[in-house]
Parts: sequence; structure tokens; C-alpha cells
Amino acid sequence: MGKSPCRCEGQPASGSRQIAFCCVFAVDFVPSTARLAEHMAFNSLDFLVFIALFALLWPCLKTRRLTRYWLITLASLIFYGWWDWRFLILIVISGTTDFFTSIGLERYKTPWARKALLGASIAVNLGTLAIFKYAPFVAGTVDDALGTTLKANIPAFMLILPLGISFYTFQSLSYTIDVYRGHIKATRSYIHFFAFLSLFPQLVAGPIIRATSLLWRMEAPPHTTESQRFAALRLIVAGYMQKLLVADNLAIYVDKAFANPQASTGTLFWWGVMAAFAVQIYFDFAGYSNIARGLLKYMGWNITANFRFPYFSRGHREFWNRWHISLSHWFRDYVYIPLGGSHRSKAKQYIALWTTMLASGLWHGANWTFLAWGALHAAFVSIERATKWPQHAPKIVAIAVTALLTTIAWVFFRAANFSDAAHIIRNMLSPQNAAHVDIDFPAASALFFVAFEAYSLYLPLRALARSHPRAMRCIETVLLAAGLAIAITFRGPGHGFIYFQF
Amino acid sequence: MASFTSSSERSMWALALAALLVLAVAYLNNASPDPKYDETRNARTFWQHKVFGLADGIYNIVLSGDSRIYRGLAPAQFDAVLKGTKTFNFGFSGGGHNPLIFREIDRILNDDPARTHAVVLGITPYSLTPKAQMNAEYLDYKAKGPPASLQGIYDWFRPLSFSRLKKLAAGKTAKPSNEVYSYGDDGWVRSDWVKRDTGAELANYKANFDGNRVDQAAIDAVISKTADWAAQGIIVVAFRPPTTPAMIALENTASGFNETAFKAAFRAAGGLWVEAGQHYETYDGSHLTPESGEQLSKIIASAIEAAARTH
Repeated sequence: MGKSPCRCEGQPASGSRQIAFCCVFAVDFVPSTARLAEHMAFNSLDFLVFIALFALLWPCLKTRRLTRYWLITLASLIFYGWWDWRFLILIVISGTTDFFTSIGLERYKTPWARKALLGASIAVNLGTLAIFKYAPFVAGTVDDALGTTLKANIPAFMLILPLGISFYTFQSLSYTIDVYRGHIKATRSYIHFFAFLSLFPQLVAGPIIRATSLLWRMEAPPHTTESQRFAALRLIVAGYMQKLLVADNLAIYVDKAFANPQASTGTLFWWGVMAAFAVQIYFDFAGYSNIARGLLKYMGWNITANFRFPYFSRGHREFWNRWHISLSHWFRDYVYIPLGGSHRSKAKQYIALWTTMLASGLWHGANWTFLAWGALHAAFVSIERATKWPQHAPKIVAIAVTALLTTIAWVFFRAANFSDAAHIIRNMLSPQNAAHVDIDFPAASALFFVAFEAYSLYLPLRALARSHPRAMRCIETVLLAAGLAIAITFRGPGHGFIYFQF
Repeated sequence: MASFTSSSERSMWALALAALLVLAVAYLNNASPDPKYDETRNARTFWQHKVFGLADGIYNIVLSGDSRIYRGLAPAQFDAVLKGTKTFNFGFSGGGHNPLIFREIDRILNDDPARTHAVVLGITPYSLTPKAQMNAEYLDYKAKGPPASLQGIYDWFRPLSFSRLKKLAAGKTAKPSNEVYSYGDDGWVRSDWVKRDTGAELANYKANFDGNRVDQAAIDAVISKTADWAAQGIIVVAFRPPTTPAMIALENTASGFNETAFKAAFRAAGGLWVEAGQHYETYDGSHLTPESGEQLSKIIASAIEAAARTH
């Protein structure tokens, strides 16, 4: 859930819904993520109707290129505009800029012209982000430092964080950079580019898809077999189970603890809450990514996984190759490597590393706590580079230490401010409070978690699949149906996806 | 079956089967009484109506304050005493008195000079604290948005908790709740506890004032708005909602509220301060029983009637 992007001081932290706990003067203007959760998020009835209609139209219209692009673009605009149509203009501005600058990059060959075009794209994309995501944070920081009143004079529309802005601006920007680098040919079709940029399954919370991996694949009519469509549904159902069953049920307890963190003390209590949050955020985001992947697979396009069991990482370098992979690779390719990557002096390597991790922290939210979260991860990776400790430690120890450090870092990600974060960490690290246990985690959540793991692994069934393929097809179908029914029936209270606010 | 296992669209079979399962479970869930859920749904409908359902300028009397107001003042009693008026209880949990709420009161208040129109402010010390000025409950419901167009379907397909599943499987019915709430269209929540406990809320209130004492800026906002309303010919009534002596003693010591100074400033701004007296019963040490709430409502309404005669 993180912090309120509305940046109102003193507002309660109570989950992603808090996005709309906004300043008095902005409250009428502010569309809320909670509204999205009720209307067109993957876990909404509206989306069910939307996707049913899309699934009916898709097989009929996917064969012709132009109709395919138009269907995707219109569906995506409806999907996003359902939340608030006014913010579609930002996607159009971002996309139009990158569409034309990329054509310009191929037309003009002089270095200065190319750099100017690239600069224009970066300025527009990062400028949009700066205005809508960082201006109030910067103004507040200046106010605190200089006693000015910049923040109070910020227009109300700038207090709103448009959904998914960090995702689609990065996706659009990477297209231009890839064209600049000659990694991809620019498309001359405006609707082709917008079909790629606005692709609704991944528009508001990723995964960030590179143009190099999808743009030109969209040209050919996508074909899917029955098995591929079934595999797509399996991904979607797994995503729903992760989100509705695990993340949303855990959210009840995490939100309760974070509603008034100062009121709760106890080492085990806070370790329990933070462990729950670690699981919640993973299942929330991995669930979303799996649903997005499943939808794209159904449409005929495979994209790589965004998560690969990150909590089983040996060290934080590995963690970042398993967690939100599309983002960490984006930062690697467009920030870390251009800064020199691992091919310069030690000092420059560390500068590149810290810059990248701090930028990643700020990408998640305009708040000092996110910066601290990024800094902690930078420190973890720096120590790891210097000592290479995960290579020397036994595997199980390396995994456990990495998971513990990651859990501690999540405190800064979830807490509303440094005061709350300090209180929680103090409690987590104070043995004198160890006896104070008032954990109230539901047995049901744990059961669901185990059930999900058992379901997703299919271990005993794999053997059956080899010996009795027909029986296996029946069992798989019934299990999938049961999984979906369980996810819907035992879902937690409606909760927006955490990463919507980024 | 042969075609099913070989080449038919298993995805469609799986979705159809899942739909049947979900329908079956939802049917069972709805077929059995679920008082806990009914309470949740009634509360949600009530608050959504209060935040989104009120038309402009339709009420002659608006009651404002925190939970002691929305549970403690019965609009029907006002309308019975004042005759011909339409009263609405615009109180919110932990609600404060501030420009956001004042703006909403102005919006729903009827300004027809031919009729009595009044604003009633329940002045609890908590309602003047910084936390109360955050209007958390009001903004929470505002953020959730108006009732969803498909709310009925959402309700029918509501989630099933593990504990309810166990009860359904065992054929057990839910235990009746100790807390009894009845949500009215007029903004009043008629509330009571089956087993009353007049010390229950003391600890909560003590914690509520920890680092959260009465804020002079909130007082100034009330006084300023009172002068503004009074200048428009609106009767502005304020009173300290009655509660237990123990609670009053706690509030007086922990909140930093100077009632005497507030009353003087309020009266000077053109407001009418009503002494409610202390002959009331509470069910939890903070909120009035329905009977006491109706009794208090009549007293406040009579004060408005008297003020209207001389206005």
C-alpha cells in the first residue's frame, strides 16, 4: 500500500485506498484507486464484463492487422478511461511524442539532431512524471527547508497521481531509446504504436514490455492453440488466487497494524506483520503480473515472467533478478549500464549502483521513505559486492539472511513516514519486547497459502500426466475451475492492486 | 468425453464449471441468514447515502458532530417539535468541525428565510482535536465513491469467510451481536448494547487524546463560521453532548478543552449555547441510549423553537 500519492500530511495510512484520502481542497477532483478497484481493475465485475466482450470480439477481429490494432487501442482506452478519461491525454502526449521522435531519429542522422530528439522524448516523459508524481514532494521538501509555501500553491490537478504513469512513461521512453540505439526499427503506424503502448493487460501496473520484444511481433496475426489458451487461463487463475486469496486476506491484518503503527509494540508482532506484508506485496504484484501475462498469452503473445520466487534469492543481486524483473532490467539497461555499469572503476561502479537503486526507490513513490528503501537495497548490494558473502555462506543461510534483510527494508516501503518506520524497526530489533505477542493472523490465510502452493506445483499430478494424459486433462480442467471458484468465493475484501499507485 | 479430453476448448469447460461452483456457493451463502453481513451492508448504504445521496438545500435543520451526534440526536424528534421542518443528522465517526464539513452543511441547508433553519453543533472535546479535523470517515467514504451500479450483484456474490463456511457446514447460525444498530434515512443511528457497559469507552478516549489535544485553530474555525451563519439569519445551536461523569472528567483533564471560554466565544459570535443537563443514560460510557437520545433531541429542538420565536 505504501504512502498516499496525494501527499497530504497527517493522513491515515490504511492501504491502497488511502490514495484518495486527499487534501480537503482536492477531494472532489480526485479519482481514487479504490474506485478503480470497484470498476475496472482485474478484480472487478466491470472487468469481467469487459474481458468477456473483448474475448468475444478478439477471435473475429485479430486476423486483420488494422482491426486488431484498433480493437486493442479502443479496448485499452476504455479500460483506462473507465477510471478517469481525463488522464488519457497523458498517455496520448507521451505516446505521440515518442512516436514522432522515433521517426525523426531514423530520418535525421546528424548526432546533434538525434540527441535533441532523444532529449525531447526524455524531457516530455520525465517532465510528465515530474509534474504529476514528484512536484508536490519537491515543493514540500523546499517548504520544509526554506519555510516557503510552494506546496500550498500547487494546482489541484497536480496532486493527483495518474494510474500507471510510471509504467507507461517508462515503456514509451524505452521505445525511443531503443530506436536511438538502433535496437529496433521505428513504426510508421500511429495505431500500431498505440496498440503496443496502451495494451490494457499491462497498462496500469506492468510488466513493462519493451518494444524490442513485442512491437513487431504484433504485426503478424497471433495464433493460439487450445493448449496455449488453457495455459493462459491457468496463468490467469493462478494470478487471481495469488491476489484475491492470499494478498487480499493478508491485507486485512497488515492494514490494521499500519492504521496506527505507534499503538503496537512487540518484536514478534512486527516481524509477523512485516512477514505478512512481504508475502502480501509479492502475491499482490505477482498475481497482477500473472493475470497480465495470461491475458497476453490468450491474445497470442508470450511475455517473460516478472517474478521468479524472489524470496528464495541468495543475496540481493539475485533478488533484483527475480523481483519485478521488467523494472529492474529497465533500470539496468537504461540507467545502470549508461552510467558505466560494471565496466568502470570500483568507485564509478558504486556510484552507478547507488544512483540506479535510489532512482528505483523514487520510481516507486515520491517520499523520503521510498528513497530510504532504495538506499537500503543499494547498501545490501554494495556489501554483497565487496564481501561476496552469499557465495561463502551456506545456501539456506544466504536465503534466510536475504529474506530477513528484505523484510526489514519493506518497513520503509510500507510505513507512511520515518517516525512510523523507526518505531517498527525499533520494535523488530528489541529483544525486550519479544514476549509481547498479539499476533492475530488467520489460520485461513495460511491454509490458502499452502493450498495455493500445492495447487501451483502440481507435483503429484505431473506423474499422472505422463502415464494418463487424458485423465490428466480432465483433472486439470476441474482443478482450474475449482481454483477459480475458490479464489472468487474466499477472496479478501476488495483491495486495489498495490502497484497501481506507482 | 472423448472429444473433451482430446481437442475441445477446456478453458470454456473450466470457466463454465467455475461459474456453476461460484453460483452454487453464492446461493448457499444467501440462503442462510448472515446478520454480520447485513449489518455491514446496512452501514455501507447508510454512509454512502450520507456522503453522496443528499440533494442541495433540502434540510431546514442540520445536526453536525461526531459519533455522539449521529448516535445521539434523532431528527424525527426535531421535526415533531418544530413541525414542518426537515432535519438531517450529518454526524460522522470521529468527525470534526471544519471548513470541509461546513461547506457540506451549507450545501444541504435550505436557506428559505420563511422557515426556521438552524445548524446544531455537538461540541465534544474530541471534535476539536487535530485528528478529528482529518474527517477520516467522511473522506474514506468519499474516496470509496458512490454506490456501485452493480452493487446488488456484488452483494449476492460476496466473499465467504472461512469461519462462515464452517458455520454453514455445521448448520450453525450466527450468535446475535451485543451491539444493535438501526440505520435511519435521516442520518441517525439508533444504537444500543444488549449488555450495557458504561466504562467500555474510557480507555479508548484516553488513548484518543494522547498527543491529540484540543486545537485552538479548530475552535477559531467554529467561532468564525458561527458568526458567518448567524449573520445570515441561521440559528446556530451548540451543546456539549451529555455522557457519563467519568467520561466528562476524563475529557476535561485529557483534552485541554476549556468549555467556559468556548461558550463565551460562541455566544459572542451569535450562537445559542444549550445546557443539555446530565439526566441521560449511555450504553458504553460515551454514547446515549436511544431513549436518552430522543430526550436530548427534544430539548435541543425546544431551544431552537424558542430561538426561532424571538429571531
